[in-house]
Amino acid sequence: MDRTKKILITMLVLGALAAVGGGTYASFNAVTTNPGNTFQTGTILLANDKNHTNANGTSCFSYGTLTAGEFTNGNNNASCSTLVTVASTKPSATVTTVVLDLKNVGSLSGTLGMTTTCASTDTGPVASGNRSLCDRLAIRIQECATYTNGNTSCTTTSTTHCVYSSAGADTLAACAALGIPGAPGTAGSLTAMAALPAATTVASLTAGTEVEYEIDIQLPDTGAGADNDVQGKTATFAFTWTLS
Amino acid sequence: MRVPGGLTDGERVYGSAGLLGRIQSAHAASLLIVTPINPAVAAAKARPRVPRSIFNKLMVSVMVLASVGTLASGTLASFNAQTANPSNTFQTGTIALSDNVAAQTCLSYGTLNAQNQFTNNNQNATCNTIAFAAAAKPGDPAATANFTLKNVGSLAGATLTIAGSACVTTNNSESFHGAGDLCVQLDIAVQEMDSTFTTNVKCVYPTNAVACPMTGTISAFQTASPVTANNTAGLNKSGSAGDTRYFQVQIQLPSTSANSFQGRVATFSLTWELDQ
Repeated sequence: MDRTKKILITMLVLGALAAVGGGTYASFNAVTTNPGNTFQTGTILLANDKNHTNANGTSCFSYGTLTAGEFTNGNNNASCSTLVTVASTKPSATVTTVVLDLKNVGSLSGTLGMTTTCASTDTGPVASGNRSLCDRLAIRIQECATYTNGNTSCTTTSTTHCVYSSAGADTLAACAALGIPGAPGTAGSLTAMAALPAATTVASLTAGTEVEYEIDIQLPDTGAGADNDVQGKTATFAFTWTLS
Repeated sequence: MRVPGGLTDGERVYGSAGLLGRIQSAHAASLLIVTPINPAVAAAKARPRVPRSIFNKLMVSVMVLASVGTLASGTLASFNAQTANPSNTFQTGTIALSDNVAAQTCLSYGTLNAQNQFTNNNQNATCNTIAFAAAAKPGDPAATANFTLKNVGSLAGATLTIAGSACVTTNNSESFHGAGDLCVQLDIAVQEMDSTFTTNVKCVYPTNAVACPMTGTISAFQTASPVTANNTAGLNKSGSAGDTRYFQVQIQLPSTSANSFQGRVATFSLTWELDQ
């Protein structure tokens, strides 16, 4: 091929490329666009406030400490306040009470579920009884009808809803009186409460609503020597609240 | 994070067939398909025999079935919030009684099991037996036994009592004996003393005088039981002042006793109890 042909072929090729790069030759068309489509999720967030002493914004939140506005704990906060600490005591009529405020601080409604665990250990010092203290601890959880922030008990308790008592969980009446647990696992004992299914439903919480629950715990005196099997024990228990 | 599309698939599965049935078929299908996949890929490189459309359908099936399997393993309610109030504790203390008499210590909790737990409900009925007298006669001085009671628990006990059980009179081992009931003849006294058992502190039974008179029989004592040792309140918790008290039990055959009480044995129990 001589030089002239090569030059001509090169020009043809370049011309063709230029034509391609210059746009489309089809001048009739139709275009529609649906812009800005969004899919947004809401939030289910739970605030947990012992005796409702914290101002808004300082409760124990399910999302824990945020990093750039994002939670990094899976929205699962296992380290809210310890509610009950009773040191070396004996059976009596004394009832330990504490109020827990639970609030749905998210934008979606949810169902509130409760999970309880209880374990008993020997803390002697010399000798201990041979029964789980969880068996003998009577517990009930009353819903407050009226409540003053900072108090360790309800002002008045609900007559239409009980979170847990010897009558069971989530019953639609006032709570039964604290019972005297008998055989292991008797209704109304901490052992029986811990045997409820995980996340047992206790309430519905629409976005922005809150409930106050009074937790009552007692080691009843059932007569001389009758409770000796729980001498020198420590019951360690946890309440987990799930909004879903 | 599962996308909403996945949820829709899941809902459709629940609506059309039992979940269990779907899971089982998913697993079966996966097993069948695993082997063809590699040959199919290999064949695709060298001009596939399986038509492309069928291959694509198979792949879609695999993906759908796999997503069904994923759904089955999780929960459908994926948004939730959880808070926990951990480490609540409720602790009990102990009241445990140590009873030392005749140089033998008896603990209320008896022998502990491997976990240091008592299995006798903290009530020990098998402390040592005391032989107050072997061959007493009227006019002998009172036979005595010194008891040291100590609270070895972590809680104070408010009330310390002593009780006499039902008393039974039997014959001794000799051939000749009377028929009198020693239980209504023998006088008993429970005397609180100082730690050296030399000075009377206060009588527990039969009166509340400083020194006990010998005026109450064993039967009368049983009737009055339990008797509270009320010089002070119970026994303080272990390690505190007042965690130990000292008592002397005195038993005497009155000098006026008749021959009917010869060759007889009175047997009874003494029970100390410390209550919260």
